[in-house]
Amino acid sequence: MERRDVVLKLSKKGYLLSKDAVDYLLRFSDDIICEIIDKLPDANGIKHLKISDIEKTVFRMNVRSSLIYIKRPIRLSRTKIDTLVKLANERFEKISKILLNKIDPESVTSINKIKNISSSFTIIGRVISKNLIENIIEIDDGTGVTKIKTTGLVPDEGEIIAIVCEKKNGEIVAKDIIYPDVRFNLKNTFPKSDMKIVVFSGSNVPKNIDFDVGFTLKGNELNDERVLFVSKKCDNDRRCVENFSVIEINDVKIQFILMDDHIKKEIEKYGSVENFIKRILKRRLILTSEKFLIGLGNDIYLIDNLPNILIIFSNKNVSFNYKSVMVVSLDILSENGGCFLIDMNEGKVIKCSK
Amino acid sequence: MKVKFQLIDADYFMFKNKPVVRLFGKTDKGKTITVFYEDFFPYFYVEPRVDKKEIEKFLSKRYPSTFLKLYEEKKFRPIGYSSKPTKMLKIVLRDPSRVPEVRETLKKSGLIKNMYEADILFKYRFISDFDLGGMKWFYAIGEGINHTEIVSTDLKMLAKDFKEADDVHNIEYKYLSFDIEVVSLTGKLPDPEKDPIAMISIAFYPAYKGQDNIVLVRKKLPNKNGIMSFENEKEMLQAFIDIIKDYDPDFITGFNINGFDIPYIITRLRKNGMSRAFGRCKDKNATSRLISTNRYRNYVPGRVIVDVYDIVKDNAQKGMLKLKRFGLNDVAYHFLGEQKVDISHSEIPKYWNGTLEMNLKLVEYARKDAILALRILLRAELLDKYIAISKVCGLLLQDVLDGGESQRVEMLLLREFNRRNFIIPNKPDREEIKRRIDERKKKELVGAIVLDPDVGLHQTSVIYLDFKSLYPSIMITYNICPTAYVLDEKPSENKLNKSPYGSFFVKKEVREGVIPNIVRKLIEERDKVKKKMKKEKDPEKRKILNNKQLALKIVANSFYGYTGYIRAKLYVLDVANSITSYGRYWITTIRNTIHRETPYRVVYGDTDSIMVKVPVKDIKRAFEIGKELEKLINSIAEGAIRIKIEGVFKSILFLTKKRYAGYLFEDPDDEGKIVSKGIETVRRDWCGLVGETLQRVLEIILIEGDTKKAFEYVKRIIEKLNKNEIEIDKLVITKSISKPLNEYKGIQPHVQLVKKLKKRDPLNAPGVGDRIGFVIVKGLQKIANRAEDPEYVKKNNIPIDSKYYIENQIMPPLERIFSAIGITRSQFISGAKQLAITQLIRSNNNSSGNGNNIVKFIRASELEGFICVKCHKVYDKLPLTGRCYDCGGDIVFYSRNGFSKFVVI
Repeated sequence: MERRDVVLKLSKKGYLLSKDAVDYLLRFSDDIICEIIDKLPDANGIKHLKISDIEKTVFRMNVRSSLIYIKRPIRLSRTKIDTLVKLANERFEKISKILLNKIDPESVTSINKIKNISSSFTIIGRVISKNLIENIIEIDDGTGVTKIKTTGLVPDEGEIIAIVCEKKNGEIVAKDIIYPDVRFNLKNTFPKSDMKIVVFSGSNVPKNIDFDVGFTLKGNELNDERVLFVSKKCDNDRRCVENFSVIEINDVKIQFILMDDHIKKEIEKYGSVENFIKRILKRRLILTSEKFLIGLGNDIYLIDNLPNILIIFSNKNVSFNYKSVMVVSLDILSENGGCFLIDMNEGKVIKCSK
Repeated sequence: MKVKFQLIDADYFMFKNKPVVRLFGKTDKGKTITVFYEDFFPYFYVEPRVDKKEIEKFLSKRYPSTFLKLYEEKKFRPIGYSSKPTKMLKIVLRDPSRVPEVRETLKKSGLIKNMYEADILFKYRFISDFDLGGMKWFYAIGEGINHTEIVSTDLKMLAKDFKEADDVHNIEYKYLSFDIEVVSLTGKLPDPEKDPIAMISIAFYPAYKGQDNIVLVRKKLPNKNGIMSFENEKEMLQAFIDIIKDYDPDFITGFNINGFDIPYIITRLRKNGMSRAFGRCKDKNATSRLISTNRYRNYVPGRVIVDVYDIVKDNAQKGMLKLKRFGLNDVAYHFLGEQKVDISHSEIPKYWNGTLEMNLKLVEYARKDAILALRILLRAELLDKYIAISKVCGLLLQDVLDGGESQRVEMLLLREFNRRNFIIPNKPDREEIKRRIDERKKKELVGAIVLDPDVGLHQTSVIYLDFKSLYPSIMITYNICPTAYVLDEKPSENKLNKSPYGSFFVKKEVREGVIPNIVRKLIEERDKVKKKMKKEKDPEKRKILNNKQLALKIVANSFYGYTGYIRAKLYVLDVANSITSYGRYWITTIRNTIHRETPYRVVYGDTDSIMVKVPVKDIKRAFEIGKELEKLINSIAEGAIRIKIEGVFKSILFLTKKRYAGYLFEDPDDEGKIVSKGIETVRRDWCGLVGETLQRVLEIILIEGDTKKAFEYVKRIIEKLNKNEIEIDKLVITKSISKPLNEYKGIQPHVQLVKKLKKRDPLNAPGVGDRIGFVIVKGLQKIANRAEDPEYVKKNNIPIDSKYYIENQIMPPLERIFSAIGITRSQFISGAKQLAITQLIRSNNNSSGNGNNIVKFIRASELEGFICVKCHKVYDKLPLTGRCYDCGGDIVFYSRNGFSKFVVI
């Protein structure tokens, strides 16, 4: 919905809006905006509409539940090349920090210095191209570019990795490739919580299941933007988050992924939802091309802040643990859908009937 | 009396209220023979719900003259293992033609639980019970008879018994090939109800009274060169029938005779009030029955109809023939290098009504059609395979030619089941088929595994390993069969095999399943035949043995498909799923073993084959490694499951699953050849230029290993296309007219062209079932309306739409190949301008393309990458420094339309 349409609709009811109020409204999807506007009482004259007025209406719309809206990320209409360079570098730095925790820092060097090294060394870099004929990848670390011969699985372009190398017959050969990945599940890295979270499809809240917080996706269309957040302990909480972002409830970090066209293609590329999730957690990136950063102020595809729970609304009901991350995938496309209960106390995910 | 004969056909007739079986054959001295057998009656089995006396009473009352007797027998049910047979009733009737009626009445009566073998054709009941089989040799033991005129064979005999003869040779058969020409009275398509036949051309092998061919003409023409003239159609048809009876062919052949000539002649015989009994018996007519659009089931008693068109299509469908078009001209050219006489269909009336010279040319045209069909059949030895299959499965040759694979399997099953005291279910009825479809929707038939290929070009050896008859081997090893399937009765765990799918089957030691038993025997027999073949010096015998081993392989491999065929009598979804689950299990096990035990990598696997990459370029060494891998895998494989090395790819290019091309050596001393799978070298709806270009590109990449040269080659082809320098014939796209034109939804090029051709030349225009070739010409209309006949284009010098051929034909498959190679740009091109492959091709093609402009902004949807403003090096990934790696120049956004520092959404 355009700003102009929002202003026009509200002015018919007698409301004048501030820029902030319009911005606040535009965070919601079109049909929610329409619902809010419908439910707003007539101004009876001319009235300035404040954010708090909008919030009250939202409360009234959801007496027992709150809404978390997952929107497509708001993008600037114009991006300069420098912004993209900045984002690419920020991404590189964040992942490099993760990698540095996994390797021997003394062996790390930069590409502009490897000429004079004769022994084994480690480079942290980003894959910029790969040659499947000769199994050679090209790495950029900001100081230079070099070619490295690999064996086995070749990393994808855009992945940021650490490579333990040695020189052989004038070539640089990879001995080992280290991914940022996720740490193993250590008890003290898991938040202490006795919260029970239910994730289900459809709008009917599961009966006979004891839970504290629930998530579902309203509607079962791809690219749907709303998650209904049904909560007993956190009433009247309302948030608007962007796809891929992380919210925190009682110290538990939950990340949502909605299966839009891009994600669907990635899932197909890796063959299954499980493979896709494991891959993105291993590389700590959801999408690897910086073209997707166009228009963004920050890198939403980076998983530098690991969630405790990753919920993906896709085409398959499955749950598994990937090291310290609990993953729940919910089928929102078929009629039957699914339902999972996450017991934070036990650290378990149970499949249940609705 | 004992007579040895080869069984060609069988039927029965009723005599004094009793069925008499007739077997038509030929003795080894070349004499035709009919062997009669009396005292054999049709029967089927039922599982009673009530006492047998009640059923007996019911049948006696309802069918007093048909019902003969009822026996109690113990038989094993066909689906589900049971250690003990079940009480069944064998119901014997007098008249085979009444069996369907009795069957249906009994089904509705509520007196029975199940019914078995109530739809077996009487002739096959006889053939199975007496252990006979099509095209095999037998001794008929009995007495000669002279008193019957009902058949026209040289010998007649009443048999009491039969014995299989140990003989594999084929007699010298007699072939009669014919073709009819019809001149329509209305100028439209010939109508058998109205339009008489103008000519019948006949070719013989061996010669008939010293003549290789004859043409019968409904017109007064000089009676020389085998021409016989007649005053009217009736006389001509009579002559045709007389010739058939006199010559007495075993095989009646021609090109598309099943679709046209036979149904037409039978109708014309009927219209003329003439007998259609030109088979080997006088009491039965030749018949023609329409079974679907343009498809007939034709039958001539005692003889076999061999339609060369049907055989060629069957072989092309199974990938054994690479033909794009199936007209007689194309087929004759492919097999013989010859073509028809040059008269188009629409010209026939003109030649028929024209001068004597024109009439005689038409005669030659007709004569050649008959001759070509016969020559193709004989020279290409097209029938040999089918004769061999007939011998293996026991079906009569006519049913092997006309029927499907399931019929062949069911014939073998009938014999083997009965031998082991099992019975076979009836064909599934509508209700049962619906149940199976619903079950399939819920449970699915999960197919074979296809591993993800290591996409790209591999230039060190890739060893191709293949499981020998994987699915049959699985059936044998794990005893997978409906008769071994655990359903109600469950033996103890140690007597069971559990498939990866989760179904249970009893082990072989408990009882070998009927199907695994059949398949095992087929495979063992094949191995014996192959060994014999290696030692055989006589080329004729070698040929027979080779056809036999091929037939054994074809039939053995039909069993898996049969188990998953929803209309099969012995369909059990769990059986089919179990077989494929083992297949998937073995492929993944082998892959894991190779990765664990060797330093090599599996780069692809599909259903029953696996490809392993080894870091050697020497083919001999690769074969040695292949042998080692064979040993390793066969040491862990179970039972009959075996793998062997099929060949070594010196280089191979994987695009996606089921799409690759490689340079294959089947032997270390081989010359090597390019093989491709799923790559569009012979896709019928692509023009010849695509296939040619792809083939050449693959040769350059795979054999010469020069990807840059391949790219230069493609550039040259595109230049030629733009200059209209490519021959029209290479640009022809072929599609088939599969249904009437008015049933097509949307506008399609070939349909639009047919409409045009119908207006120009209605008699010559292609019809349903035909394939039509077209080219796309330049113009303003939609592509579909710019489809044109190639001959018309040549005659009228119409320019071709080169852009269509570049963008829609050539580019798509080539882009897939080049992108799979993962050719980096810097590798591909040297010099200042380094743009994408497609950019280069398109920019060569598009003179208005401009990749050098600095523009204000680029749209995000058009963004192609990043580019250095100084040296124009293009990047997929933005350098972290924001500067060119090579020259340090500034990096900006890049699209087809120009460069910019800004991108807008």
